[in-house]
Amino acid sequence: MKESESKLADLTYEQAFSELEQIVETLETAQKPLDETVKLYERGQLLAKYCSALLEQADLRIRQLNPNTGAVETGD
Amino acid sequence: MRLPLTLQSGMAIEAHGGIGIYERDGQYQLYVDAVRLTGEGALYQEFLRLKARLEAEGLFDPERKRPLPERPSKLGIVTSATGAALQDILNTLRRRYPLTEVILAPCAVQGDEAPPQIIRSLAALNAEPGMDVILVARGGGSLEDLWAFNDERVVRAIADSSVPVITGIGHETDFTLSDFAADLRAPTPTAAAEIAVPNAVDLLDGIRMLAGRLNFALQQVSADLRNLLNDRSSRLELLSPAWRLRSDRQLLDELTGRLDQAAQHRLQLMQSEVRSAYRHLSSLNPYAVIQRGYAIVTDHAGSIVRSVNQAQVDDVLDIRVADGMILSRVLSHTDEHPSEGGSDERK
Repeated sequence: MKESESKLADLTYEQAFSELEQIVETLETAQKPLDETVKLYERGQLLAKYCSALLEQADLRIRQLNPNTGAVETGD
Repeated sequence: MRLPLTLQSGMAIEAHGGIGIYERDGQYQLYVDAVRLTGEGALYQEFLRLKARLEAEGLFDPERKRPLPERPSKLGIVTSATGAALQDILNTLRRRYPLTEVILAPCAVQGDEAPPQIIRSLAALNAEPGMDVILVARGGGSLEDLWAFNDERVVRAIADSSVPVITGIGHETDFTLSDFAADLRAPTPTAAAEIAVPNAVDLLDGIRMLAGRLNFALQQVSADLRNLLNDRSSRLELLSPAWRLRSDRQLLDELTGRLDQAAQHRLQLMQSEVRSAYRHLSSLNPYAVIQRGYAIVTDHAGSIVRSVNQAQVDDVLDIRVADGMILSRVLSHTDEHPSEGGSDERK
């Protein structure tokens, strides 16, 4: 599962969450072969953990613009 | 009378009331029944005039209000870099939804320089790619303090923003024209931040619920598959050669039993046949006849002599009697019944 985990890191919270929603929807409504079902389930578990971790561990990122010069400074 | 503001020394106010004269001391007294800061009345009149004009222009129409993003990933803030409003907003965002990226466009929020700076900040945030929502905020103050947000240029800039705008200006009771132009008006800066982002606690609940549904869905699928498998394997069981073998074995056992019984029966039958044959044989025993005085004559070859024709003169014959044999020689023979086959030779 290393592959999808590394792919997970590229996802924003919104992308991960909507994929999770989609997977749940699929598993609840569509008849999928067993191996595909298990794959979807594992992916869904990873997405749920990833989303939770994002929410629990995230730190607010703040950037400050200087509208007068147009320059961008980073800071907190 | 309850004053709407705290009077301080040096304050310029406009007061309304009646004058009383205390004749004995020659003093005039002012009985005030209304008081306001100097200029506020004029400002309020200005506010109402501008509001009516912009309203008539359609700037505040409900149809102009855009839906706000549920989970903004990029959020702009237009406020003073040093104000309490900014800290309130940042604390609220940190607590509720730290996933959002905050772009701060600081500006003066009071005074003559405020309107152009607010407009520049709005423009700068509109130029940022991927901006989801902009908060325009300021802490509480007098109508004069908040006046920059009633500036027509600011109000128009908010209405023209391509990114949805939430205002959180002053306190609950304060309304500015910027509030009317915004897509949503929040009563305070903190409330604006709360409206702008979801609550992480609710989101975590949502994730837990989805994870629960995920687990349930998998259980459902595996239960369905297990039921199907059970059904098929019991149907396979019914088709198993074991059943066939079992019935074949039964048939074989039955046949073996019948065979045994038949053989037994046949044997008994044969035994009784033998017994009855033996009884019959016994009744035919020639020796029993001999006991009664008859004899059996045999020739030299052992053949029983039944006819005179079998014996020639001088032939030696054996005569068996009950208790032994008599060896004899034929002297003569007489044919008494030539038409009949012959009879025992007698002596």
